[in-house]
Amino acid sequence: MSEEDESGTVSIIIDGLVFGYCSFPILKGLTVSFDKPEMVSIIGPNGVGKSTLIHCMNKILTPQEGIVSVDGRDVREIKVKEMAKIMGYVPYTTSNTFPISVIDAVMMGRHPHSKMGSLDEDLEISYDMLDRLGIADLAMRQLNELSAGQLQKVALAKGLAQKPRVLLLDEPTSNLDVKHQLGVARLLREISRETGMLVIMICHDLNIAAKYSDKVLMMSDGKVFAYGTPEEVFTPENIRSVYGVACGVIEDQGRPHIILRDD
Amino acid sequence: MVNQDVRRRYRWNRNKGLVFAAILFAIAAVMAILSLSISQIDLGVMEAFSIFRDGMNGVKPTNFEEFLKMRIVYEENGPRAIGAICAGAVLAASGAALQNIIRNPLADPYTLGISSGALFGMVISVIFGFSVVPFLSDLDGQMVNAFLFALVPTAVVIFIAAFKKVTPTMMILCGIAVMYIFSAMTTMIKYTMEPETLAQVYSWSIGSVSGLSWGSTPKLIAAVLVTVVPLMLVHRRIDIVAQGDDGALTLGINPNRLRIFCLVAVSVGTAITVCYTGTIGFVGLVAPHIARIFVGADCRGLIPCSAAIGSVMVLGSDMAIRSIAPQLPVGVMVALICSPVFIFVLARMKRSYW
Repeated sequence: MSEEDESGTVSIIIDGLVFGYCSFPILKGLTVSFDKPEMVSIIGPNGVGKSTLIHCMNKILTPQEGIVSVDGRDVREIKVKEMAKIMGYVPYTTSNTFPISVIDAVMMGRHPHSKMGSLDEDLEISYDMLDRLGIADLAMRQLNELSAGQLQKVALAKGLAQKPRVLLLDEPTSNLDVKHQLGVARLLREISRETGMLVIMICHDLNIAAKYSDKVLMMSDGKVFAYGTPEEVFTPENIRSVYGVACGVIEDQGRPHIILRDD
Repeated sequence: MVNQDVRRRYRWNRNKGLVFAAILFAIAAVMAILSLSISQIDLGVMEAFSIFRDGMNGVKPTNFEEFLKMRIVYEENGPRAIGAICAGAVLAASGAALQNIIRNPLADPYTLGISSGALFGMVISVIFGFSVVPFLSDLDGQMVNAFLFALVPTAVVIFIAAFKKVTPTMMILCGIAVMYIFSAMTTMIKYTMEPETLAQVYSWSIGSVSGLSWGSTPKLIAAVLVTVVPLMLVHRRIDIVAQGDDGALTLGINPNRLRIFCLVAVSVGTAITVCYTGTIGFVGLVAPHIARIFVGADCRGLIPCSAAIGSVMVLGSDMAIRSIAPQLPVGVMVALICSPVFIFVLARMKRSYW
């Protein structure tokens, strides 16, 4: 398949991104670049512009200033149809849904690739993603019968079934219990390695980000505060100045582990 | 690997709507044949059917009684039944697509101002002989007028979209505003009318299939095709947009462009329908809700199934009218019969959609 030949070489450059809602500035000249198919977590306090950044990357929002380019091409020049093969998106919550079956919802992720006669293949890929997320038994259930956590997994399966080269996720683990938080984060890293997919996820759980990410992007005040490996980014000083909380950082399984303190 | 059970159930779910639609259209066809005999004179079903067949074969009536029966069964009831089926199908298929793509249970050609726009265009053509495009025959002028005014709600949406982001809810609100403007203008015109024309326009504004002739049949069938075919071509995209605009955009679909495409398809079909039957309300709103209970929200099945239910609703209502008060506009009976059925169905509904 052609999209797999191109994988593993993706590069995204974001330069001087400025975005504001009704003149209230959110992003204030954010510059960062991603050049390897790896797992990146975006962290930062509420309202810092994490979702806005993702929306500027996938053309849901158009930045007032600055450029987002994928493989050297400005995203403004890439048509939404072509964009759908490059970048997938798993939104924060998918409420307001018509009750369609789970498998139909996941099959929608195949839309950018589907053509006449690809139904069986699409069904196979969609079912496989449900299987990997451990919810294959829900395939024929209706979306409105599911719990928030199950819905989140369905949205994730839809994003993965799209098989994009870059997958953007807005808090993919927010509604999951601890076991499934770990499971989903592990699966995302696994798929990223396996298929050469660049996975960029917004994450509020610092320890999940620390445990599974290859890189961490820490945002503060509409800009990049720190970008690097979890060891480089998760220091008590950084966390204190971005979140304003005291913490200790210890090492656990070769990864930083953040312990929040009351001071 | 997908197990066989899931594959089988998936295929059934996918095709269920089409099966239901086929069954319902078969029912509509049977009803149409039965409806041939319903009139103020006493006629058996078989007799009516054989008169209709004679009419089709061009057999000339030999006496006045035969002439009268031929006129009622072949010239009146035949096109009337087909007209009812087509009008119901256009309005209900439109409603189904619009409700899903605008994500609002109240969307239909009526509430979006499309029907009232078409009616206004037709009324000014009939009453004042005013045609937007000059040098057309009366009927063509009416139809072009109806079509152009039916597009006004869509034009308003496009106009607003030039300045700001248009949300689905805004589309409904715009449509309702446009509907009131057109209704008010039609009412103003009615105020100045002669009593006979007033009665005519009044019956159009409620919707009526009486007085349809064979000349209307090809146009009404065309109305079904120009509505249903384009909507079925984009049924999958409608489903994706129904799940949310952001998600649709990241799957390569421009939601507002698709909405405008659907609005235009619906406007063409509705304009043609309104020219012959007036504005039959309620079908476009209710038939999709009933269809959703049987086949779910997936447009591949929902659009044809809604169309079939719309046909059954309008034809059934017209049959009731023919047997009690032939001159009553069918729109009245649609509302009278279908509203209680709809409320009952809503109360018994297992899944909630909205």
